[in-house]
Amino acid sequence: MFLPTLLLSALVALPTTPDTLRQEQLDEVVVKSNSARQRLRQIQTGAEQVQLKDLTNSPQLFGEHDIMRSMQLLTGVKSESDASSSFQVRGGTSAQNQILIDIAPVYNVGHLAGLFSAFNSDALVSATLYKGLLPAQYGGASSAVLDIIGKTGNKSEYHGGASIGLLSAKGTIEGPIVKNKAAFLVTARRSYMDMFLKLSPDFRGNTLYFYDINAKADWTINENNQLFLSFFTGHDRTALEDLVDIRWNNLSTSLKWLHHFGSNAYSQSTAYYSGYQTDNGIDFLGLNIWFSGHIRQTGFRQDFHINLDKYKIDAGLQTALFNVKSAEWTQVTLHEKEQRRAWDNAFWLNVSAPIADKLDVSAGLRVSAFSPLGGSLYYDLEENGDIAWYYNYGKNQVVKTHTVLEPRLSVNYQLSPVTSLKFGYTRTSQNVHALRNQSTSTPFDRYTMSSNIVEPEVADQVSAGFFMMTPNQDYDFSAEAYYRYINNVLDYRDGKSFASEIEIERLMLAGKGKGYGIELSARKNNGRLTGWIGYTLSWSKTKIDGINQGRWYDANNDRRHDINIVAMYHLNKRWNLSASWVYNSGQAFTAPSGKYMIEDNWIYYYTERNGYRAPASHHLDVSAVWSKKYRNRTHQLVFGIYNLYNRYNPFLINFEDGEYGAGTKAKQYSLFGIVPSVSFNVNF
Amino acid sequence: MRRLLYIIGILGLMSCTKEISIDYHSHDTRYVVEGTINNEGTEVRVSTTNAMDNNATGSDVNSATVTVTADDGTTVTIPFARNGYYRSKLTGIPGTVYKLDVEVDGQHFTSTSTMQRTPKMNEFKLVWKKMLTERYLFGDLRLQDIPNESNWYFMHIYRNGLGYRWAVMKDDKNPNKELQQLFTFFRDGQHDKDVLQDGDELHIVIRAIDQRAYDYLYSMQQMSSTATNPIDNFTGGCLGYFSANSEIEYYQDFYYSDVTEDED
Repeated sequence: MFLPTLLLSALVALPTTPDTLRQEQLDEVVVKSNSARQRLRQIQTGAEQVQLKDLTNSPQLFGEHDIMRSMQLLTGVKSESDASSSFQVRGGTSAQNQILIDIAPVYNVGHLAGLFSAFNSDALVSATLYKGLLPAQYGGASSAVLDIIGKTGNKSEYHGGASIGLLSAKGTIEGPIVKNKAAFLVTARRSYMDMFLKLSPDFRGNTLYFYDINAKADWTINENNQLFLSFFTGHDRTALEDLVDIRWNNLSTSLKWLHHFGSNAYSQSTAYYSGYQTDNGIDFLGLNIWFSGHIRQTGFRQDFHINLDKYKIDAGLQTALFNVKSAEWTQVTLHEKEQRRAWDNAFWLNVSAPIADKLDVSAGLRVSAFSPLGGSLYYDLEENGDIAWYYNYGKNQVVKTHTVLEPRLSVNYQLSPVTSLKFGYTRTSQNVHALRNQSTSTPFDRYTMSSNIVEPEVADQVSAGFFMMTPNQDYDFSAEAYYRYINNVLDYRDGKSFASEIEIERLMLAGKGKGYGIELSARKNNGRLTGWIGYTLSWSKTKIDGINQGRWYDANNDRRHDINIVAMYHLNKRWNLSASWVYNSGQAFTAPSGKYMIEDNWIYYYTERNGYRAPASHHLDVSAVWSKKYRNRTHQLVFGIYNLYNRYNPFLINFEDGEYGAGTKAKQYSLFGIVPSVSFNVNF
Repeated sequence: MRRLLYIIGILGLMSCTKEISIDYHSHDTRYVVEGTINNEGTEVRVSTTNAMDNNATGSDVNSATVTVTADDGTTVTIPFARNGYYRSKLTGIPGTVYKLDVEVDGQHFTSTSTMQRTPKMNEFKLVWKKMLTERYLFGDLRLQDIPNESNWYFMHIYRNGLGYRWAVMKDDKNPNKELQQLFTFFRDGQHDKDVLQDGDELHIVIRAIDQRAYDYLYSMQQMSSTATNPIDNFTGGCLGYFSANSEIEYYQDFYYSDVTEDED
C-alpha cells in the first residue's frame, strides 16, 4: 500500500512556488489547495497559502469569516491584540507588512478599531502570505507580504448571496456581462450599529458605522487576452455629537491585462491606484481641532512569466508615484501640513529551477530605487531634533535616490519523497514608514517616506526548515528557524508623541533591529477531524542611539511564546464544528521603575523601554456551522462563541496613582469577555 | 495611550478593567531638581527618585549647593530653607537669562532659562459637559496672548493649596489673541477625593515660560502616551526643570451653583 500511495503522490505533486500569476488564468480562476505535498515541495520557505473556501470552517469573531484572523492562526504569525485585524511576522510590525489586493496595496486592514478586517471574504478567492522570504517579484515591505486575489464573477449564470450577523450584513451578486466572455462580481458589507444608536435618545446624534465594497469585472477578449478590473473601498466613521469624529478610508483599484504568449509564457500589465486617508476631529467646548493624513500611490507594474523546460522565469518592473501626508492639522488659526511626494521604481528577475535531482532553487534579484521629490520642504536636523537647515527643492526635482539591491534565494532539497530541507535568504527594503507610540495600529499612526534624512528600512533574513509528511499526506510536520536583521528601523524619540511637531522626522530616531526564532507546526490534513498545532518561540529587539541609553531593548511587539491550536470537525453533511485556542505569552511594554514629585504631581521614572511583560493572553473560540442545500440555494447558520471561558486579556496597561500618589496601581484594560455570535447566510 | 483608551472607551468596547500586580525593577536613584525664579523670588527643590512602592512624598536632599547666575554675571547663592527647599528673594527680570547650578554629592547639574513677560488671564469658568450618558466637569481657562512674540504658558490649578490639574500650551493656535485651555475635573457621580466640594479654594497660577521649560513640561504632559522620561532640561543627568517665569494668580471658591451647563 505504501509504494502505490507514494507513486500516486509523486505524480500529482505540484513543484511550484505560491504565485499570484498562477491564480488568474484565462477563462477561470484556478484554485489549488495548499496540500501537504505542496508545502513540502514548494521551494519558497516561509510561505503560507490560504484558500478562502476553507475559511468557513475556522471559528471567527462576530460570526464573520475573516481572512486576516485566519492568517493570525498560522504558525509564525501573531495578532497585534485581541481586536486587531493586523498581524505581525517574525519580529516585524504590521506596518512593515505589505498587503496587496489584486496588486494594489492596502494600508489599513481594519474596520471598527480593527474588530473586523477590511476584507469581505465573499469577494476573495485566495491569499498567500510570505513570511519575509520573498520571491523577487515582491517588495516594498521589510517584513511580510500578503498577496490577496479577488474573486471573479461567474461567466455563465447569475449567482448571489446574503448574510446577516449581529453587527453587520453583506450581499454578493455575480454573473455574466456577456455570456462566457465577461463577468462581474460585486459584494458590499455594512455595519448597522448606528441603527440601534438612533433608538436611544442619548445616542441618537452619534454615528458609528463601516462599509466596504468590492467589485471585480473580467473580460475574456480572446484565448490569449483577458482584462481584469478590480475595485475595493472601505470606510469607517465614529462620531460623537459635539465631541469627536474619527474617519478612515481605503480605496484600491487596479486594471490588469493578462496576455498569453502561447502556452509557456504570459505577461501581466497592471495599472493601479491605492489611497488611505485618516481624518480625525475634536469639537468640544469651543476647542476645535482637526488632523488628517494620507498615503496615495499611483503605479504601473509589468510582469513576465516564462516556462522554459524546467526553468520558470519571472521578470518585471514597477513604477509608482507616492504622495504621503504625514499630518495636517488645524486648531483655531493654526494650520500646519507636511506632505511629500516620491517616485519609486523597481525591477526584478527571478528564476526557479530544479538544478539537481532533488534540489530545487529559486534565485532572484530585485533592484529598488526610491527618489523623494521636491515641491515641499526638506531639512537637516540638529542632534536634539531641532531643524538646522531647510532645503527647498523645485517641484519634481529628485532630492536623493536610495538604491537597494535585494538578492533573493530559496533552496529546497528533498531528502526523500516525504521529507525536505529548505533554506532561504532574502533582502527586502521599505520606503513608507509608520511611526507609532504603541504596538497596535490606530488612526493616530503617522507615516513618512525615505528622504534626505530617513534611509530605507533594509531587512536581511535567513531561514532554514525541515518538512516532513506521512506518505498518505494525512499528517505533516515542519520546523523552521529564522534570523532577521534590519537597518534603519524607526522609533519615537524620548518625550515625543505624534502631535509634538508637524515635521515627523523631528519625532524619531533610526537604528537597527533583529528578530530570531523557531516555528514548529504539526498538521492533520484528512479525515473528519483536521487542524494544526503551531508553536513559535521568538525574540524581537531594537537598538537606537538616543533611546534606552543606546542599548538593545525588546521591541514593543516582542512576545516569547505563541501557540495556536486549530481543530475542525466534519460531523455530518449538515454540521461542521471548529475550535481554536490561542496562547500568547506576555508582550513587552514599558512600565516605570521609580517615581518623583514635580509640582505636587507624581511623575514616573522610566529606566528602560519595553522592559516589562504584560500578563499572558489566551482564548478559546468555538463555532458550529449548519448548512442545508436546497435545489437552487444553500442556507447556512453560523453559531460562534469567542473567548468561551471569558478570559479578560490585556489590551492596554495604564498606571494610576491613588490619593496624592499614595500607591501606584497598574490597571489592565481588556476588550472582550465572552462574545457569542450568530449569522445567517444564503447563497443562490 | 490615553488617546487609545479614549477611542476604545467611546466605542463602548472596553469590557473590563482590573488591577494587576507588577514586579517593579529596582533603579539607581537619580536627583530631581525643580527650580523657579519669578517676580516674587527664587525657589529650588532638590529631591531624589523613589521606588515605585515608596509612597513618601519625595526624598528631600538638604545638602546641595544652589546658585543662580544672571546674564549680567551676577551670581546669587540660594540658601537651604527646609525639606529639600532652597529659597531666596532673588526676583527675575523679563528678558534676563538665568543659569541654575546645583551641586550635590560631587555631581553638577545646570540649566538655563529666560525670564518671560507677565501673562494675562481673560476668564475661568466651570462647565458641565454631557458626553454620551455621563456629565463631566471641565475648567475652561482663557488667556490673552502676550502680543508680538512667541509664548509658552504653564497653567496650574491648586485645590486647597495642593496641586490639582496642570497643563502647558503654546500660543501658535491663536497668536496675539485669546487662547483656550480645558481641564477635565471629574465625572458627575464620581465618588473619591478627586471630586471638588462646595467651598474648595481653587488657586489658578498662570506662568509665561520659555521654550526649554515648555519642551520639558509638554513632554511630561505626554508621558501617558510616550512612556518615556521628559526631554532633558538639565545637563549633568538629573531629572526636573528650571524655569524663569512671570506669573499671575487668580483665586476662586468652588460652588456647584456657579457651574454652567454646556448648551451645545
